[in-house]
Amino acid sequence: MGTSFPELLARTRDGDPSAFAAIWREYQPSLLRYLRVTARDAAEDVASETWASVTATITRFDGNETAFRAWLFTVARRRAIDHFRSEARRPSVPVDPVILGGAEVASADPDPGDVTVSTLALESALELIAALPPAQGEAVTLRAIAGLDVVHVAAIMGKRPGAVRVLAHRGLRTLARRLTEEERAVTP
Amino acid sequence: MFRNRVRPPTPSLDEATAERMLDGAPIEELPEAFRPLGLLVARAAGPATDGELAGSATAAAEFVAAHHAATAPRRRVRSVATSVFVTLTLAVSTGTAVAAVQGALPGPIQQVAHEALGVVGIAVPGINRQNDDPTTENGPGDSAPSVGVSTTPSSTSTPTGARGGVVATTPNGADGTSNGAEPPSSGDAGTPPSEHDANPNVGAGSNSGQGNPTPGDGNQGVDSGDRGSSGGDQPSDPGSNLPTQSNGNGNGPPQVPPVPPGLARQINP
Repeated sequence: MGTSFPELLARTRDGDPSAFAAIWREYQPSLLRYLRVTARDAAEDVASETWASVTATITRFDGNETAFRAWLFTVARRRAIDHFRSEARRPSVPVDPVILGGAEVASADPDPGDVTVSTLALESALELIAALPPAQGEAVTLRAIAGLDVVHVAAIMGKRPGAVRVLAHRGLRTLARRLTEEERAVTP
Repeated sequence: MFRNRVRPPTPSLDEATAERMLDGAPIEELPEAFRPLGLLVARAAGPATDGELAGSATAAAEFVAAHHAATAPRRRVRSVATSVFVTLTLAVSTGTAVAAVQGALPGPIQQVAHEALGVVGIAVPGINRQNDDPTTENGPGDSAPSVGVSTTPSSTSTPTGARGGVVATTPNGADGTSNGAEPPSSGDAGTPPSEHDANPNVGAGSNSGQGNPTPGDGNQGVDSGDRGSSGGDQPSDPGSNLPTQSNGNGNGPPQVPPVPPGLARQINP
């Protein structure tokens, strides 16, 4: 962000759409990636709902950039939970979310055999993280992608900081193991 | 042997390295064995793609709409609530005022309306007035005195004073003959003598305040009536003969004097 966050926030409170767009561009990528890990194919919808909630109440928000980031991901997590609850109540044909989530990756990289660490695209990286156990994937995403510290992640996930630290470390170890296995599978 | 050299066993990820990786440390600073993992994490947290920022204009437009909707309806709701409140207040106050003028309110409320509206010069019957004969209600004057009657006691803030004032004013509205009967009835009502003592004081105070200005007929009647209850004041008003007669009636602290001196003087000159 070229402009400081407090100035953008003040202008957003006054209804300046360009200031809000600057905030949106700053946080939308990490928000979307977080939701791709946690909400999978509903990431776009949940992100829209999240920004709608933020827009409705941003005039009452008072805090620094870190607080805003934590608030944004807190709202996103709640909207994702609401989304899955409403989806659970709605009768639908069960679809494997892994298949839906991997469709875009498959189209972007038609040859999965070439997926190595050096050629990992963003989507592939997110797919690997999304394949982690949900709590581990969320902890890794909030720490590494959202850029939040352990305390804020613990507050968002409703866990203790020590538990969040363990979840993130386990997630990274799992990723490291899978990367090694994948590399061994690719390299004869 | 060769295969083991190419693919060494993956070392365990220590917490310090994991924390550095999660904090976004450069890949070059990570142990070589975990650089692939560091690269994965760095790519996941990499710069935004065009596809991720495609909805920027839409988001800004939605923000404008939401911001406008968040500010506009509030004013509308507030104005509707205000208008409803004002309408209800007007309806209730108007209905209460009409009922008060017609004497249709319950006793205590009617008395309160009688005293409150009397201050602003609106003739509202009190409790005792409702029981009086309409032909004798106005007493010696027109309807204006009845207002004045009610206003003078109402200036006393204590309920007992107000009640006693009404009782004291009731003879004003009635004839002299009825005056002789009303004060004892006030004593029958159970008002303690102290209330009778207080009312005259109030009446006397109001007399001194209302004597010099042109108080009107009703005020004179009230004043004399209050003096009648106090019994000790000199009636400076020339038109207070009948109330002066009632002074004797309400004079004694005993509630029912056997033979009021003033009345006895009239009966047996």
